[in-house]
Amino acid sequence: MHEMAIMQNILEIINTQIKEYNLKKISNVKIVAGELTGVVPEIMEFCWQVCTENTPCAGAKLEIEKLPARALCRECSHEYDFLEKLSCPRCGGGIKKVLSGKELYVNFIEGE
Amino acid sequence: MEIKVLKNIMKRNEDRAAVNRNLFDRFGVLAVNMMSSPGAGKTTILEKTVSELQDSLKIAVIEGDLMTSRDAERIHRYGVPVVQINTEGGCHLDANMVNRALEELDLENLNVIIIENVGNLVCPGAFDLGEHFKIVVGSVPEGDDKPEKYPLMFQESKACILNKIDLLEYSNFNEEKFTNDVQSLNPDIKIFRMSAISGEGLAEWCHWLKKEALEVRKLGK
Repeated sequence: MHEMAIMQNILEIINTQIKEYNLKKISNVKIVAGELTGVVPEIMEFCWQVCTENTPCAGAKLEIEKLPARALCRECSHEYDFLEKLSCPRCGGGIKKVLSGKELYVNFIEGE
Repeated sequence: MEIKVLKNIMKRNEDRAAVNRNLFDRFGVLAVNMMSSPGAGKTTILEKTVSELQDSLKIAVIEGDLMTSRDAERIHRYGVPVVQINTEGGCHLDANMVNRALEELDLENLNVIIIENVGNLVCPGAFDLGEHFKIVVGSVPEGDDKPEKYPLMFQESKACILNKIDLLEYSNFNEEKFTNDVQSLNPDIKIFRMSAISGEGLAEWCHWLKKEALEVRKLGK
């Protein structure tokens, strides 16, 4: 349950934008969260509702795009989703590099 | 109106972690972030490690604990500096908590700071504390599927301790599978088989930790 800590950071980022663009109402927020960050969308949704009550974000839609945990095989350079199986499905090799899955950022907000 | 933001959500923590990292480097103090599930044996490993190394290295411990100060008291008995961080139910340590804890330590007079994170294999992974490296502790009673279920911890750690190996004979823990999975995630990881209770494997781990500390010291001072 680190979602509340993450949500506070998200709101801080959004509030900076609200000030900068002088926004009155936010309608949509898109977050990108890699599969490895352990962010549970349902909990984020709950935190969002609790934290945005009586703010310009109240009622806004929180969209969370999950990015898969992808790795580059150190033996055959195949790219694979390693949450299904840790070793490469093609040759059985292990991970040389994690290509995605650790992302955690605010992509865009919509408002006026 | 749509506004492209593209801002890293963890930036505030990462900035704070960079401050900690600078401090550790400046004073040549090795900082280790130790993570595991609750009950894997982190505190027992720390007690034994402190006892083994305290004559040759100046060690301090930062204890992350949900509510109690039990773990800090256990370490305190060995006469090394301990700072307790009570997260009051929070599931992880963050860089700011560690930064405040560092104010209570005399960095000038230390070689190693071991940060015992809150027992949890998910949340601590998202928060950089400014450490030089992470280590993850797995233990036999937890089962051999932890690397599969919590890959991030094992993927990002420099070393993995497999603790409670004295219980292998009473369990269906498949050590070969555990080791293969850990190495699939992280080919460079150093794996230490250990029974902190019996002391098996402790010397090898302590030797390695000491070597790492001396390297950081060389770079720092």
